[in-house]
Amino acid sequence: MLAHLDPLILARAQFGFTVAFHIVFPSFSIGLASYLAVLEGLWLATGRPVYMDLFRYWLKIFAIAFAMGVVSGLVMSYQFGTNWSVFSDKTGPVLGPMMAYEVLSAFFLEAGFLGVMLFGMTKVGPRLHFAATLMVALGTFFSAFWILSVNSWMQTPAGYGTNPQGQFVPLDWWAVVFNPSFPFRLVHMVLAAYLTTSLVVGAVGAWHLLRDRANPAARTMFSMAMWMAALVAPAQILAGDAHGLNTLEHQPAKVMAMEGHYQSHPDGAPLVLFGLPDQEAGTIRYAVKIPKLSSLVLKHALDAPLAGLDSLPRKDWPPVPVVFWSFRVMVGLGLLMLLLGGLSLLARYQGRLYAWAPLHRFALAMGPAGFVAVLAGWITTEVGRQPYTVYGLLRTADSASPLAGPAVAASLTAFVVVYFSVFAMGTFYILRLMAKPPQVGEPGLQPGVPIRTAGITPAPAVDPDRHLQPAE
Amino acid sequence: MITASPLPLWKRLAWFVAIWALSIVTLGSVATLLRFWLRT
Repeated sequence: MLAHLDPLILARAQFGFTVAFHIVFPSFSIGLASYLAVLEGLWLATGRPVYMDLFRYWLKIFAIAFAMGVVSGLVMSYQFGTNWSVFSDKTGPVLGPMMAYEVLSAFFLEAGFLGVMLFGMTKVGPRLHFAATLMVALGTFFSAFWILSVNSWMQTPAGYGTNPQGQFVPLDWWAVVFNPSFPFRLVHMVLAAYLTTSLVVGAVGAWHLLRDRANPAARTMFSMAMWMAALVAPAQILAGDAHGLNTLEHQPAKVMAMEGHYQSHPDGAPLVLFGLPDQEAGTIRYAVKIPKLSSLVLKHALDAPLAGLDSLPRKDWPPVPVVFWSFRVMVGLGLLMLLLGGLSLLARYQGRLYAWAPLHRFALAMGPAGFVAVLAGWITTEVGRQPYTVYGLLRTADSASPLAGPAVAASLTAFVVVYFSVFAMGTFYILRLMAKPPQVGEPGLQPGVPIRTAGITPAPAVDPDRHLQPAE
Repeated sequence: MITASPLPLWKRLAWFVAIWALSIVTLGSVATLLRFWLRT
């Protein structure tokens, strides 16, 4: 039975499964590393103990999320060799060095300084510890920078040539790294990571506020998260719009799939809100449309012509149903995030940010929304790139390793079993940590070891709050 | 502002470098073992 399995579909399923698991953790750790840096910076600047309590509370969660991100990320690079060896051979001269830079930044900045961040507070002092936290935050950003540059090059290849062996070779590194879609993708993804983190922090804060409105750490984290959501959600919508216009310019077939435009519209294209894409028939069934709005959004003119998939050969069509719906999930969740940010501003203005239970329940429900939106966004952009791995140049069918179906099926099954068991345990543990309310004098990773910021006074041992006060 | 620390600067810097280096060595060792294992 296994012999009849299509190894290409299995290899794609395996990469899709593992990368979908992986992206959840960096989406969280990129934002959380910056949040930790902000918390520690605020503690250093103001001396308010609540910031250190929150730092310690989230540091434990960050450590686990970071570890799971590293482990799930390692698998991706192995798959390039096992299942996608033709792709690796052809794109290696361009993408290999960039992947190496990602590893170096993740290795020397993120992983190295994480040790200082986790275990160094009593050894290196607050300022050097803050420097380590900044390095970890910087490392997560550099990591995202290089990975997104690699992905963007696959979407909008630039600065390359080909050698006699049929490999892509770099001709202009500046053009390779800063390829046309990279700045848009970088901004969109980093904002997504910040938004995802703010929603998780907001949900945890809301959970504890629903149980104890007076908890100072829960109030502070909820307030900070709602500020972030209120500011970043509208910025993300603007960044997404700019990214979409860039995609229209460089990958029009993807936008046709997102919009559900099987047919060309020479006199202005409608915005299809909902419908059922029928790939065989090349139409959207039961479509709910707003006339001309798509042309207005994409071309800023009601009657601007927009080409549809009927202008392309069928073999170049991406799978429209997946792209169409994943795009709508992402946009729908983005609008809900905007609503949450707006409601939080209203509650803040009315002075009931910590007392409005419906807002807290809404924030709690939105906790996982960032992860779902990130996954939906990546499904939109990756499935929308099909049937290519390197857009317009290298087909997915020509990128896979010459493997038999059972071989790929066996490794896919192993991944599914291991991932669900290992990451389910990690996620369960993170949820348990989140379920505990942040305490005054939150214990760090070295329980029993007092954090002293100045002098040899035994005061920290006398007053549990005192050890977090600034030294005079 | 948090300004002081119980240890002298050179000791704190030494710890800073030592913990960082130990983290790198630990991870590097794991990566080397993995690489060796994959090659065999």
